[in-house]
Amino acid sequence: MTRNAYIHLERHLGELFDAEHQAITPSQPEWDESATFAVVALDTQRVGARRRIGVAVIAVAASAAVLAIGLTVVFTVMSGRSGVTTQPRVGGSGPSDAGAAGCTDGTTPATYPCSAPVRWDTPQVHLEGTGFSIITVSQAGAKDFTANDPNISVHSDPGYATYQTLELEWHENGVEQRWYIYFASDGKDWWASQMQTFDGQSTASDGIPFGGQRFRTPLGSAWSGDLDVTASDHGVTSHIRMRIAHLQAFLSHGSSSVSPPTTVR
Amino acid sequence: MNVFSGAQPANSRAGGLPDSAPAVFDDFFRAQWMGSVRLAAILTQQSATAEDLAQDAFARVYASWGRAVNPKAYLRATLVNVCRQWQRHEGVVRAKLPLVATFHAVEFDAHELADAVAALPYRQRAVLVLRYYADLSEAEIAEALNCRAGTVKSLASRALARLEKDIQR
Repeated sequence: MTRNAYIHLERHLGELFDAEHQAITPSQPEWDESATFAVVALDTQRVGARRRIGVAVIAVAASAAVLAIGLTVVFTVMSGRSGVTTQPRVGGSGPSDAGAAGCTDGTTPATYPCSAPVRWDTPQVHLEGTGFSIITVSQAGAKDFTANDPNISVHSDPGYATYQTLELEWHENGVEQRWYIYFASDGKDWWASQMQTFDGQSTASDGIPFGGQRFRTPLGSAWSGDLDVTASDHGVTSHIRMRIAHLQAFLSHGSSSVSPPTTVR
Repeated sequence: MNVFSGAQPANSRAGGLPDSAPAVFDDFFRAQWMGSVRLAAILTQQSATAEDLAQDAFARVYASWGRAVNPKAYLRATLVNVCRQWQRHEGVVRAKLPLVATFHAVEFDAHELADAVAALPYRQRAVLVLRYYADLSEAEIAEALNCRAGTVKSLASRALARLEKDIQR
């Protein structure tokens, strides 16, 4: 097919879809919460009569009551959660057992999944804060990871004066999750040059890289602030959130004549 | 040949909410409903069950509300998947979509093209709809179809080649 033929066909497709768009006039209902009862059985319900959009007063009232009870239970459980604890590893220490906290920073589950304060220390890196979560979203659904694993691994590659890492690995939701932060320095400042999480999809999870420079701070100083970043790879979106109270890298470093990796994965 | 020639789609369907998560699902539903029904109808090339398919997709998004980073993209990917599942179950039985006469209708047989589009395999049709109707980028189409960008290019190329052959026949 010639290029002109392609262009003509593309234009005609746009015009066809525009004609179809103008001819379709959907109704505009209000959202009916009773539809959520059908979510888990959608495929089995698909054969046969399909559920119609409508107002079912009793169903709406019942679902509202269930939702209210459910949220009460969730908040009760979240406020009773203890802090994240780990077994210390060589070269690192686990997060502080900060006790029950829930969403003490004023965030709500709709914006920040509730998680206890965390603190991760290695001889090279110190990171602490609140509201930590990794949310992975794919066509299979969404998963929250809040590092709620007593056996979380906290480790740093000590690297050298210009490179080191913070590597967190744990199991949650039945799969492995990780948050790797790769740090760089030019002798004056330090920053994160890349981060990585797992996609949280299976036991053979794949990595999702987060490019871009972050946390740039003079050497010897700490960074604090809100981290709220998103990256996608192979059909999965990963979202890292944390209210960072204190992040500092290059507290110490190894010494090596080996050059830092040019790419990290 | 880059099958995405850069020719602008006839209309941009960009609208609705920005990609940052709205606070209330009801607002999201109201803003996205009509566009979702239309997208479902054009993806499946039939209108009889488009509202049901859109409702299914919203129900799935509602179940994950507050956790989806980009609710609009998540809704789109969910809708594409719901329509694909429907297509697999229901086969190719189709009541033709209505067409509003356009200014350029005399230049091509819209019904013939519509038949050819409806006869495409679902994923090939989905790529064309998401590009030339929803005006998505290759990366966004890949995300909606849960495939690589290279696969999107390949699907589009095969779809356009097949349309050209079917129309000329």
